[in-house]
Amino acid sequence: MQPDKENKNIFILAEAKNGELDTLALQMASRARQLADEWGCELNALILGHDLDAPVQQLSDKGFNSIYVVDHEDFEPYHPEIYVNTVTEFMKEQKPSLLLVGYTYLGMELGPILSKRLGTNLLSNCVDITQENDRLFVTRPMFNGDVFSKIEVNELPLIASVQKNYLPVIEGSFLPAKVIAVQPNQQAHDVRAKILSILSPTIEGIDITKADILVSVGRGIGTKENIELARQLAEKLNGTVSGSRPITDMGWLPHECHVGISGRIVRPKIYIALGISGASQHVAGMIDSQYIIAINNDPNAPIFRVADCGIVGDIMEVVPALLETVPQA
Amino acid sequence: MRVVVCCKAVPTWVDNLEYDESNKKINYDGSALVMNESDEAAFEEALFLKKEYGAEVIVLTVGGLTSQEMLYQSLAKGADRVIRVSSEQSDDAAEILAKAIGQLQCDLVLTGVESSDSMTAKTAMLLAEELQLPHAFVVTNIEYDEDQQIMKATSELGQGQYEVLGLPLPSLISVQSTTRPISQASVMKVLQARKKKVESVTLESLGLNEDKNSNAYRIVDLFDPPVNNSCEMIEGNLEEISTVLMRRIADAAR
Repeated sequence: MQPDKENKNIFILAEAKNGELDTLALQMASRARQLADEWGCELNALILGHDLDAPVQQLSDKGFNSIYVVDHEDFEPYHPEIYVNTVTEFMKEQKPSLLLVGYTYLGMELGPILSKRLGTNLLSNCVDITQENDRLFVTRPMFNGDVFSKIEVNELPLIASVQKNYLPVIEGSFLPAKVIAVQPNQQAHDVRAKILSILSPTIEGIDITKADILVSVGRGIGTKENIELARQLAEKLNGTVSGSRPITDMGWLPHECHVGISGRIVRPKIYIALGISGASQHVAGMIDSQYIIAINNDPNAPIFRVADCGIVGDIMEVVPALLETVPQA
Repeated sequence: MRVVVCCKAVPTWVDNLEYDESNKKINYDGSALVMNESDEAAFEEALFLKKEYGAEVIVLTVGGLTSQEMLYQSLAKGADRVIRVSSEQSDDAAEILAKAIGQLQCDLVLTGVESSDSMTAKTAMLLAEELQLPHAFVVTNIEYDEDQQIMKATSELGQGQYEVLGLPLPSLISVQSTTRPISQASVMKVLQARKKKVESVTLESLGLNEDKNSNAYRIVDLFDPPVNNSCEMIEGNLEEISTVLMRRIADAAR
């Protein structure tokens, strides 16, 4: 479906943290540029934060007409209300026919509030958004990711939140975008919640981001005692043990061993996932590993979709067998 | 302190999914329904507030009769009251919950972050907006500060970073996970709970009705997620598997 030629406008909300752009913005930009070309409309970006020079520079030649920048110290640390209020006020003015945000913590929080305040439809957790002939579709997972649903969008404006690492980045050569500084709205600072403190990760002893080989355990490991097996494998391979969120939440491994979007982002040479189903939050934390091995008893586990090599089987059988074949150092 | 926990009963597995166009509903075969994982974490935080500060805990759900077992389990684990709004529609859950909560006069609303069936993660924030409550999102721990009468919610920022938000009451907290151990209900407790009352509320009594089908979008296809053809599946007996696997590890380690 095509919006009125008069009201054409696509926006993406780019995220940056500690001066670093979240690369999801580049993935959204590529797809949004294609849509903007088909709709014959403008593509713009909004970015909020502090110390945004580098992120804005990185966005400048990605096919945007304009990049609106709200750079203010009040945006770091992240205060949800200030952020949401500022974006709301901005979008009320711009009235995008399509707004892409990340299906990130920030986008999950902001999307519904924004849709309510702007009276706009929201489709969240999208892994694809396509224009086919004159029709607009999004695809999104349901039922733990066991099934994808394809949805036809009959009404604009729309806010769609997009999952990371699904839309491809397409290189292109574009004119530099116009960069427009936006003053933060003081009313946006009229907030009810207060930030009391920030807790940063303490890295003492174990730093899983430095390991060449990670042997990572998930719920499929069964019991805390079984982690010993992973530890033996890690030791023999000169690697380190890490785990998915449930494992560190249950205290089976310390929190600094948590791989995932809310834990550590790792890029080892080899990532061995033992009994990890492969929820998107976990995958986002290890997708850039050079070689991914998955061992899981569920042949449909999403982890196999990102693995280079997979075994459907019982960890408690496969790992002991593997331990026997590891050559003695 | 009165705490309302919004919980959804979800299947642990599904099969034979089919979209029923006329009712805008997905039909499927599946397991018995259990409490959604992050809702369970929220419920656990509520039970903590009950234990530490004597909070009254109400579990509220929107669903059909198949949601009832989850409510008995909640009673067995320590919920004081359980309420089910009878409705099969889940797309407007926030509006329904808001109306139901409006009749309850509570100090704190707890929810999970994302349900495993629809995976939209929108209900919590829509509800905060409907109720005009200050909120915290993706929370992993809740404490109550009795002196200041605020909730201290530890919210995830990603990459191992957290911030602690102070929220005045009433407020809404959307819980992602908990480090508190998940309560287990004994068979005896569940049997006793089955004799307790599940308060049932109709949409009509909340001033709502069932068919509010929006035409803004419609499902046109349900399909299996694409398979990664580049994943080499190693098959064979244990010895063969481990030999090939060891070779792959040695190659990749170079």
